Amino acid sequence: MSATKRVSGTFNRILESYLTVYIGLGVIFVVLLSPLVLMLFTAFKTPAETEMWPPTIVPLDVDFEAFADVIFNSKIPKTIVNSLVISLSTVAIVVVAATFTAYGLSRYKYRGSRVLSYSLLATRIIPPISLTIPFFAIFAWLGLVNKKLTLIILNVYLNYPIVTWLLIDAFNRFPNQLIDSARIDGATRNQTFFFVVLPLTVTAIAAGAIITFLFTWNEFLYALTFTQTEAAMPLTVGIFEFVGDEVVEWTRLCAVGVFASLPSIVFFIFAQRYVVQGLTAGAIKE
Amino acid sequence: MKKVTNFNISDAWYGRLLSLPGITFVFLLIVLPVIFLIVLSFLRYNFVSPVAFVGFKNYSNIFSDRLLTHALKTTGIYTFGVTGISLIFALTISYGLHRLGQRRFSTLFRTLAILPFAVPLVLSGLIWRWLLDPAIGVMNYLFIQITPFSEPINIFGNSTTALLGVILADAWIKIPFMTIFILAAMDGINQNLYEAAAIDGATPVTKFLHITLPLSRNGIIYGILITAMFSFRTIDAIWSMTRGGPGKATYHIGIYILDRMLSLMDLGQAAVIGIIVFVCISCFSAAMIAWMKRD
Repeated sequence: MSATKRVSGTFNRILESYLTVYIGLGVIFVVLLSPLVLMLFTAFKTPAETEMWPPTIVPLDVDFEAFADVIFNSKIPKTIVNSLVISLSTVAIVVVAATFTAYGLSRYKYRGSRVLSYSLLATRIIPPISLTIPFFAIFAWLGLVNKKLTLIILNVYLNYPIVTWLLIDAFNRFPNQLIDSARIDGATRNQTFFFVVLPLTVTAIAAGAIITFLFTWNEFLYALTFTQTEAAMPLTVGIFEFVGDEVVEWTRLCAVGVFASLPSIVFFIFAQRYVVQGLTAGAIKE
Repeated sequence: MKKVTNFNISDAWYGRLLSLPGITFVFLLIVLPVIFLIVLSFLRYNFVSPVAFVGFKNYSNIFSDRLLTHALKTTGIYTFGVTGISLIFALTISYGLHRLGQRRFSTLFRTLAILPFAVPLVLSGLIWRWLLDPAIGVMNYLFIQITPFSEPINIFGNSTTALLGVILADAWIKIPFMTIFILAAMDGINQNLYEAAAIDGATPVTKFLHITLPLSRNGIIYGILITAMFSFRTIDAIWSMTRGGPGKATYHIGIYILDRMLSLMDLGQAAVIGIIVFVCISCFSAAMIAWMKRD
């Protein structure tokens, strides 16, 4: 009896130890992050090296040809510009519109404003893939196919409800006394909004902007359905330039992959708090 | 003295003025297409013959199509696989990070934990296609080294394993995604509870089962809900890996919709599938939200 007790005691002490946690997380992260690292390394390999067996991990010779080729000899730079234009326009529209909407819904309640807030949240249940079909018919009829504007409109639809919900939550938690004292001091409603409320809710607005950028930058379904040529094609579709039916140019693909993942990685490293805040808004307490 | 305001309107009207333009726009952008989706499902709409009302013909065509049951089954396995794998990893990672609290490297670890989420899902499909490649893939090489097998596995050449391949690529992105939700919920747990439990002689396992799990329950359910919802309506990873093949082994319902819509240009039938996806997701979400509300 005492033997089993001692064994389970040791077992529990091992589980309890922080060293175990560090080792466990370390192992998981090695597995989880190895595809990213391999992608980065492969972008610096020669095409011949990617065909070798056993596969190499670290490049034998560092080769910049894949990057050079992607930058100077492909339509990738054009699709990166498209992705930037689409993402930044979407962010601008969503942030401005959602800020006004959320402030109106949160601070100046009117009949039905509660229902409107919740129905905005409920729209998240509607699957974007189901709406592809009516959008396809509508935009074909309007002649809005293969235009960046179309993708901007669709990404606004995808992100505006989430960001509005995030900001409603932020404005709800804003202390009423600050608004009241500003109004008593003679500030108008607009002045209170722009000079008292906005500066103090700027982190929530930044969170909304960042998640909108990430979702739009990574969006694929509508990009695939509504763009055919590089005039409007974003990076997520442009990537397929290096994917043939039989042959895939892995070094170039990995180089594009580095470009495609870079903005999000930068946000995750420098603005992780905002990303988490943006994604979990409305998730925990509903 | 009369108070100076730039608008002489009531507060309620001020609220409407701020919020209604945006809401109107977004509802037009959502409600009109939903109505049009339902209308389309009763129409012959194929860009070739003139548009005509066909009653329930699209419905009977889709419901008698063997591909529908197959696509639903594939989608079910895919959703279950992606959500299950993500849940196991996300729970482990979140619990580890939660245990670390503010200790050394915790900030670094938290960043590392969400890093794969930076990769667009469609690119994840391509990366995993390469890692799992039978001729040049690193995963296959490791597989041969670690296991007794001496032949590389052509995971996409075989209809039973192909689905596992696409699930892996999607789960890789969903692990960090789910970790964000579960970790946020675990961070809300008061650390004193663990100390109190330790004084009462609780083991690490009982602490996890009786403190961590119940107190982060809603975050976990929400993570399951949103991950399952995303994998039920996705195309990204499958499109870049198999496009539904080999044969129809990875024929996810999203690919089914795109086939009807873009290849066959039959928007009426595509709309019926779209409605089926909509109904499935609504029922699932309602069930999960009811589970979350139940205490």
